[in-house]
Amino acid sequence: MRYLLAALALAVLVGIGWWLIADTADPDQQSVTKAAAFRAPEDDDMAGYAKVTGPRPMQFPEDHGAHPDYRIEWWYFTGNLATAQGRPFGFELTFFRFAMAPSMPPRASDWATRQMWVANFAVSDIKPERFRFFKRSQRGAVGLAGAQTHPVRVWLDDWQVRAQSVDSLFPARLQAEQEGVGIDLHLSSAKPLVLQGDAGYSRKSADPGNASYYYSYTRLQAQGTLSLEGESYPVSGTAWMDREWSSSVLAADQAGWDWLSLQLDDGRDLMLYRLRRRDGSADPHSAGTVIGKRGESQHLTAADFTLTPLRYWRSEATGVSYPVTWRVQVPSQHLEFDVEARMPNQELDLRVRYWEGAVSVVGENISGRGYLELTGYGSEDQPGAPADG
Amino acid sequence: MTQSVLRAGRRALWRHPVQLLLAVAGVALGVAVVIGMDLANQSAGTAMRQSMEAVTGRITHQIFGGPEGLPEALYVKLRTRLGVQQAAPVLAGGVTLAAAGNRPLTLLGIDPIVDAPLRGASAVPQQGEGEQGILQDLLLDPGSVVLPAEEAQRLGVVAGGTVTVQVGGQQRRLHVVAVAEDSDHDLSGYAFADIATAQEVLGRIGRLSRIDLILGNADAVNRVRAALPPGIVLVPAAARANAMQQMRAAFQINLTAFSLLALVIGLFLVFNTMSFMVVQRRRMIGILRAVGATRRQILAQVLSDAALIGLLGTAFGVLLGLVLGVGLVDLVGRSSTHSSFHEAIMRFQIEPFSLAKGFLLGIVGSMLAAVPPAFEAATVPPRAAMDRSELERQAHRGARWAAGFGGVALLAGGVILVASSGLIAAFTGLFAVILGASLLAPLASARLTTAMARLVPQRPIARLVLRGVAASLSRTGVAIAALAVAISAVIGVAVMIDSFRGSFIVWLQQSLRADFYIATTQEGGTVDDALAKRIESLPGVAYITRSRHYRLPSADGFTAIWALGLERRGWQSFDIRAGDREAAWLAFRSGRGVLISEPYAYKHGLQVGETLALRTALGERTFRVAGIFRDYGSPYGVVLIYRPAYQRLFADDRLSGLGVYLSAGSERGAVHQRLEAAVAGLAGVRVRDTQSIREHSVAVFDQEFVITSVLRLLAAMVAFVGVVGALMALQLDRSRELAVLRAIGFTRIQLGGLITAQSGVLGLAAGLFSVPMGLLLAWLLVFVINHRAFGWSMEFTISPMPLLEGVGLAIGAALLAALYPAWRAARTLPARGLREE
Repeated sequence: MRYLLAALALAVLVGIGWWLIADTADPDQQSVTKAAAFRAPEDDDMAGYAKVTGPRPMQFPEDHGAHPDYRIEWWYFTGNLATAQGRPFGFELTFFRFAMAPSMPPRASDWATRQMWVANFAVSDIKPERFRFFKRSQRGAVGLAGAQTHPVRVWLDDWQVRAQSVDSLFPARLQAEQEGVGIDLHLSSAKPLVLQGDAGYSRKSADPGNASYYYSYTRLQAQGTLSLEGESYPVSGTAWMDREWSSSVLAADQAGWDWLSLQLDDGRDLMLYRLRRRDGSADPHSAGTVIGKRGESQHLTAADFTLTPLRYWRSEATGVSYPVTWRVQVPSQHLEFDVEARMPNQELDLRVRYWEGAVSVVGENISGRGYLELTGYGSEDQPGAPADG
Repeated sequence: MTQSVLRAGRRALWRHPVQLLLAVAGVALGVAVVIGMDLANQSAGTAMRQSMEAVTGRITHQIFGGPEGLPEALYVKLRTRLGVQQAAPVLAGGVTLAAAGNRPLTLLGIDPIVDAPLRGASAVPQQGEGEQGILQDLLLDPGSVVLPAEEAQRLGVVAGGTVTVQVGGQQRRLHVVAVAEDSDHDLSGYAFADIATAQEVLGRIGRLSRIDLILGNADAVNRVRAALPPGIVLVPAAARANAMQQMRAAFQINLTAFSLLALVIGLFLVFNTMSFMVVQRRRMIGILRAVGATRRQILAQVLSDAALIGLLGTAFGVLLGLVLGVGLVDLVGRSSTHSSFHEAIMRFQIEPFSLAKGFLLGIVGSMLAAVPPAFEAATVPPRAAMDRSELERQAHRGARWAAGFGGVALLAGGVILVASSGLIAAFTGLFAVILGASLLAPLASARLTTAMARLVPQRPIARLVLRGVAASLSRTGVAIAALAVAISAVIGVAVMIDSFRGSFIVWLQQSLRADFYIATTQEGGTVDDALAKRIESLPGVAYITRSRHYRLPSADGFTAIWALGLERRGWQSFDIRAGDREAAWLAFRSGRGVLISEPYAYKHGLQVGETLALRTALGERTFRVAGIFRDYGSPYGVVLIYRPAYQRLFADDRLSGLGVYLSAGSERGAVHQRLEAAVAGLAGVRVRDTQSIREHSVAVFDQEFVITSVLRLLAAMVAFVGVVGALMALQLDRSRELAVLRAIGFTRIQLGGLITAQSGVLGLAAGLFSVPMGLLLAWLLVFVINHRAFGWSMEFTISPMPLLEGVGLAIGAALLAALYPAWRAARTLPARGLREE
């Protein structure tokens, strides 16, 4: 009987557990989106964490691994895929690491850790406009989640990216599956690694401490299978990997950001982000990069481009309006085109919602594919977005 | 014509409002008993299911290791390599609170990150801001715990405070990072921590107690099973729930038996009521037939009135049944020793099936019950219909038929009981036997009263009384049967409990022979061989026995293993029911043989000389069953193994308890003090006096049977009320006969006496008949039902009290029933009584 009571108590404990996660360290709430995570915390909370204050030499594959002394870090994979018959899909698989404390006393149990991991996985089934997404949380201990080098492996449970050789990240295998939705992709890089910003130092506000280390692989060839509702599809396409770590990015007056990663059919790739101030205007520290056919990259400042929302989509589920069609202008690169969501509903309705989805480039002489991320919408300081566009 | 026949019937109903009331009450009571008992039974069942669901939740499977638990790496492997996402680790262990009189607490380590999503506790309300940091503290702060409100209050700590616990003889300070609301007191006795803290505090680095899983299909189950290293098993959560269900089986079996009894009693009450109604209007039927009413019209009249009474009775009966059910559910909850069960059972359930059963019994049953007598009354020539003697002849023929049918039912029941082995068959047989025996009751009581009348040839009044009873069988037979069933139930259950209790006490005395027991009050307590050695060397201690209880996970739940280290002289504490005592000792001592308790033997169909397999740390081993012993301690059975063999095979040196035997002439109180001193400061260890254990055990036993006694009383009460109604109606029906008696010179006192005496004789007849029937019932409960439910054997004990009580109850009911008619008959003027016809 004691056993029964024990088990019963355990069941009730769930309540406590749930309440604890739901409210306190629910990583969704804390930091699932880049914007939310990168907001500058109180100064006190920052004490003890490593700070990003300027460029530093990058070393690989070591820097593909975790940087546990920074508050937050991510490994971000997005891509557009299609079957041989042309059925289109989008996918995103992201691994986040959050440090809950700058340090921890030595402890006997291997379960003890200050590192929390969260992963998001989403598949956009574009033809029937069906969007599936999943979230997992795990502590970065006992091998449940983590990042290692030699070979590079980043994982949470059985979701993982794993380098196929000891010394380099790519080629790599990307795997995730839940409830019959899965990807198993072989990724190889068509272009070299791109250091964003100033040799990887990416400033996000006037305060030089609001910055991150940021590098990308902008054109990955993806090949493998995507499974959905019991069906398995051979797919291929292009993917993008973003890597950032930091302890603080957004300034107090910044509400969120709109981020674009585009692979153009002329061989160029384009990354643009617009940091949105609480008053709705673009922050002067918005920036971007254009990557040439052979991988040569050129930094773009806020003055080099404009991003104009053209059309909004209002989520039935949450009532939040997201700008899902944009006019993109980069005069120095002679680029002007529209970016349109390949399907409107790619909203991740987690505790902090955001929109992240596959997009198409539609221009007069140009086309392409990419991913769009919209964060910070639907909060009370969101500037009045037009109703349905 | 049809209309006027129907109207005549309706008017006949209204003309005798008391009888109408009694008829409706009879049906209502029958329906109420069935519904009430059913509701109690189903609520109990639902409560059990719910508390089991609360335990296992959505968990489908659990992984258990040996006595040392599991390596944590297995959990990681499940998640990262096998992709088992629906999994949560648990590490539990005991600590003691020094500040609260060494109160034991179970420290429950979980992974709060994955636990809640797995168990699906989304019903828990979300808290607002400001709770930031609790999870982080739990994860980051070594030694941080969440305490339930009750424990926090007991210790006088609030969130942010600290408590000092003892574990493994060492003190640890734990930080209370939060106090959990616990209005149901379900969390009492627990402290909750992150796995890391639990491992550190309990000194079990790298280990888990178990892993809870949700596995969607057989593929997933097989995949996990294939990945488990030897010594680690995957157990379906349902199997565990089954094991727990067995623990509460006694409870449900009692309730089922009583539901069955209620059905029989309900049937009798309805039948009694309806056949009595027809008997009453035989004269009217005769007249109607004489003036030209057809048989069909007569039947229609009786059936429509039966339907009306049935409808009214059912309506009241359902309401009454609900009230009864609520009361019973409350009682069931109160008699349960387990608060969680209590909480669950208080959520009263109304099952459509019970209501349907009640309706069926009340309305359809009423109409069916009215058909044979109505048919009979409608078919006989009108003159005969008005003739009472004809009716009584019919009734005697009916009684003989009933007896014949009863004999067949008895026989069939006997055959079912002998030929079958399952519990359901046993209940079917029991039902047949009860029905059969009750059908014998009318004839038996008629014969009995006729025989009694012969004994008093010189006493005309006495003969009048007795003959009157025998002669009025048409109206008394069913009442007698109902009363007999109820009383026999009272007797049967009382004898069964007496037998069980007697055997239980004897077993307690035989098996608890040590003078003191030292036991751990929690998992992972600190009784060990070092302590055993210290105790053994204390002055006044002759020798000790060492016990280890371990629940070995097995494919179908758990095997309770009792590893016992004892000397030759301790062997007499076992009541070996099968197998040679000496040979069993030698086999046990060699470690190759095991003893099994009766329930284990019964459940696994094992006999002495056969073998059973246990999954030991060294792989699967088979053991010979050297003997079967009596043990009421566990309803699902236990395997007794010699402790040195257990230590070797299961790599487990821990102890759950010690039995301490004093040397002759030693001073009990002094030794007790020495024992207390020896265990002082040990977490969760208690010294208990054998006498207090015995008393406690008997108290627990009695508490488990409180519900049975209450139900028994209830059955008696319902029968009582029903029979009072039936007999009262009978006496009221005799107005004319009584008026004749008054007219020929009976005094009022004599008349009252006659009525009372006849009623009393009826009661006596029913009571006497119910004695053998009750004993038969008890015998079946003890040797068939109980054996098939649990495998327990027990001695059949008959004490005179329950039998006397039963007969007394029957006579009491009958006498009480006579009061009002006797008073009324004595008051009525002869002329008025005569005119009433």
